[in-house]
Amino acid sequence: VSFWRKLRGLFPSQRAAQEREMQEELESLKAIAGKNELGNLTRVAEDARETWRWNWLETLWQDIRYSARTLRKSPGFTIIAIVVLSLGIGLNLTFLQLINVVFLKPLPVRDPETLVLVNIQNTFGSLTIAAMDELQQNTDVFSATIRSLYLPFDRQVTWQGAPTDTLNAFFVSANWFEELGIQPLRGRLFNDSGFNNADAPPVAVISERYWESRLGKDPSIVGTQVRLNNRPVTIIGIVPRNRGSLQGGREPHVWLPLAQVDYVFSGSRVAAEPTATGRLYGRLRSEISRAEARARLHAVVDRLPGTDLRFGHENHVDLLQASKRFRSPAATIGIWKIIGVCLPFTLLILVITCANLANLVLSRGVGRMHELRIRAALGAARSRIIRYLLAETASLATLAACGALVFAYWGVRLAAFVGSDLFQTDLSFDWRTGAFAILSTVVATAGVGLLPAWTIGKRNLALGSGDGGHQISTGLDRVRQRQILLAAQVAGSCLLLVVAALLLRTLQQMLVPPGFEYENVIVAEQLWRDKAPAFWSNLRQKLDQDPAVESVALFRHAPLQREERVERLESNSRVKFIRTPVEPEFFRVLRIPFLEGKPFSAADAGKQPIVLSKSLATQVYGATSAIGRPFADVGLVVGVVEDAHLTSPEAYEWPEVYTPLRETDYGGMLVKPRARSDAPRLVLEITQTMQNLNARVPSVRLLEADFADRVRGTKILAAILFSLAALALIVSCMGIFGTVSYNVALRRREIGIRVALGARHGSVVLLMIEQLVWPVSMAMIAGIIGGVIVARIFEANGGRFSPPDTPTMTLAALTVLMAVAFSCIVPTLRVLRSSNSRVLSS
Amino acid sequence: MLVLKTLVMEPLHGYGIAKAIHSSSNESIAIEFGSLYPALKRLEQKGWIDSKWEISEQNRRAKYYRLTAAGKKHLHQEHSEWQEFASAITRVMGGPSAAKK
Repeated sequence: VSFWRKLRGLFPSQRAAQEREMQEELESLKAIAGKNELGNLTRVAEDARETWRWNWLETLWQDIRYSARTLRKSPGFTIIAIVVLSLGIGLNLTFLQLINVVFLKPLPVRDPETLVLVNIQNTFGSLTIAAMDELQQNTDVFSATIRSLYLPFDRQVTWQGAPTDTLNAFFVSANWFEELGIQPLRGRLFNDSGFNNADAPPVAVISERYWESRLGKDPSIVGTQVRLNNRPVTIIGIVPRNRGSLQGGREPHVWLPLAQVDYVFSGSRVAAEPTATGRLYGRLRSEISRAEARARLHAVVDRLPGTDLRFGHENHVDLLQASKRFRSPAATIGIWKIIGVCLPFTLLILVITCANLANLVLSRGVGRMHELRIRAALGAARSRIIRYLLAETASLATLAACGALVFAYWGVRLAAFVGSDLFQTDLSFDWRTGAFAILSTVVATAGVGLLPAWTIGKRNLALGSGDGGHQISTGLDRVRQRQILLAAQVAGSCLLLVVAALLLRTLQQMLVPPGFEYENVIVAEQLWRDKAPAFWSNLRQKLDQDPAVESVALFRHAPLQREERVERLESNSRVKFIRTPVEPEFFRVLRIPFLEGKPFSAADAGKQPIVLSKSLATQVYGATSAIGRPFADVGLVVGVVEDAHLTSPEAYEWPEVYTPLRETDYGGMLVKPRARSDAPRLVLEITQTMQNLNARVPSVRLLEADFADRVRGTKILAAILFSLAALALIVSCMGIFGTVSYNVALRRREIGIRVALGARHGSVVLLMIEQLVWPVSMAMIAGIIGGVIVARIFEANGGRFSPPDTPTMTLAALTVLMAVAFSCIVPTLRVLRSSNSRVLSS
Repeated sequence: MLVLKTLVMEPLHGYGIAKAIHSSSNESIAIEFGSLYPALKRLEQKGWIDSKWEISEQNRRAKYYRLTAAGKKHLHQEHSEWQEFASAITRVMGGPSAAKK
């Protein structure tokens, strides 16, 4: 009862009514009672009011209004504080929001618990339409199945015959939208099994994004006939954004019934192309467990044509759940690893941001002793002053949280843009984001405000009433917390900078060109190995006759695809190397230049010729020539080539030992087309030739695609880490500058006296710096050691870090030193420059 | 508790309650109006008493407070608690003489 009455008391009209009633009652009693019998009625009324009002709420409101006024009066401090805190909170919010959209938000489909993706590992994650048909017909584990087919990038459809306006086409089974519970934005979607027939009238639905961005939201588009690949097709509806596709990557522009693949791409075998990604999803029957369904599917898959077991895996059929966003357990672990590396870093930034601001607020509080003392003298209780100081921080934190939401809004979109897999995820904020934001505001308020408020509030504010609070200020100035906070801040900044600098070094190494030409090279692989030598010789013969082919080279492991098997020299275990069996033409196809010697040739047979990479040769033989020298018992060096990142583009070691390829090692072929424009056509031709040779599913692709695949993850990580490092630098410098310059400002009086007594400006500056030497240098050493330890921990947890080196450390230390010196010297000079009498009288 | 007890007999206005407590305690308890009035408001907030404008015996308008059902229940509970407490105090105070026997 009392709560609701108090709540009502917050409304002005209610409040006035209650007030009127009380005054009336007191008046009436005054008439009844004897003179002075009722005592001080004003006081009585004030006490009574408390019963229907929340006094604490009203004083809180006063505090907030007052703190808003104070903050407005010092815009410099306010803006710095809000910006820094926004960055600190925003970064964490971005990260939490990413975790939210990747892990917590459910996939926007109907019943995600029962929907599974049939993932067959040995077919490069894709199925042909025939294989999907066969699987579907031979299994009874699903109550319904839906299918989709994504075509490779170069198989976009043209819109209205314009060769430049190409669309991503997504072919789906007729029950796709219905099973996923997707409602059209306009018109209708395919929901009739009649669309499963190839002779059904050709229809398509388009994405909301395409409709908005390219068709100008044309309301009459539904029902019109357009030409896709010059084939008439009727647009029947629009799919709302972020729906309609269950896989990451490019969002489809247009959805077509699966049965119309041959109509749209007439006369081609586009659906059978190995790069087309067909996917089969099913709704598990409720009475069948996932394990049982997997076992039954396994039996069917074994009988499927064109499926070779790559490594004899036991579990080559996997059912990935929609509720886990079709992520395999391994992928989930991978994402958690990235989070595990980044989250501590972002939290560290927040902690240091809070420490920075706490220091600033404390310094500011010292400067405001006069004002606080007046409040105390007017009767403000200590708790009230603490509360007021906290209200100030809370206002800052709330504004910062708003800034952080803006930051996170763009941050998540940036992350989604860089990591294209996230593009189709629904990135919008939800209640969890709100909860994160509120939580971080509370945490930031506590982290920033509690210590200063407590330190200032617990001082005896009545003291020093005669000197304008100077005595207390000096007292506070000496408190150990300030020293500790300053040291902690410098140490933290140093730590962040060391980690950031190491990250940047790592990135720098990642961005080095791979050392071989990955453009305009085709990789052809065959996973089935018996009779391989004959197969590859046949293929080579055929390709040698093709005028479009410049050269071919066989290899054992495709570049960028192989698993590293690092060996060590017996005589010197520090020398690591990887054996890479290749044909001599390999170097020519990939344009890896020879520094010394020549490729192995038939003439070398019998003496185990090998070719070393430059860094390995330098490591083993130093500046002397390696040619003709034995490399342990591996072979005799006949050539030295430039380093090439064959394992992965971001590797920072290149210990390659190229050995001649034996027939039994044949694993695949590199094909160099004469002209770049020939490449796409050659891919298809080679696929065709390989299929004709043994009718198995080959993998023919551009090496460029492999390269893009391999660097994508690194690029995402690099972008994230780079922004983190930049933020760390900004926050550190701002924090140090703020604190040190406030420190100097507090000592204006002392500086004034020294100058008045004849001290030279230079010596005053030196004095200011001198006092920082000890805490700062100790903190810097601690920070650098801490940074190295953190880097080691990251590295141990799967992060990739370049080893800590002297230039990096020196750079980080110099940056901090410069920030400290700058923030000490500039304000000191400002004080010195201002008129001395003004300084003393202030 | 005293206020609630006073209102058991009849509804009273604020000043009347103070006077009634004063007289019913044989003038040993004097409650200042300054403390009584906010207390009344609190009891009203809790829903234990209710108020209404009426005409007093001196023919003046005054706000009369009466006990509600919830108030009666609360009074009963508090009364028995108090009795328990008081008797416990009495036992403790009379304790030494009982032990001598």
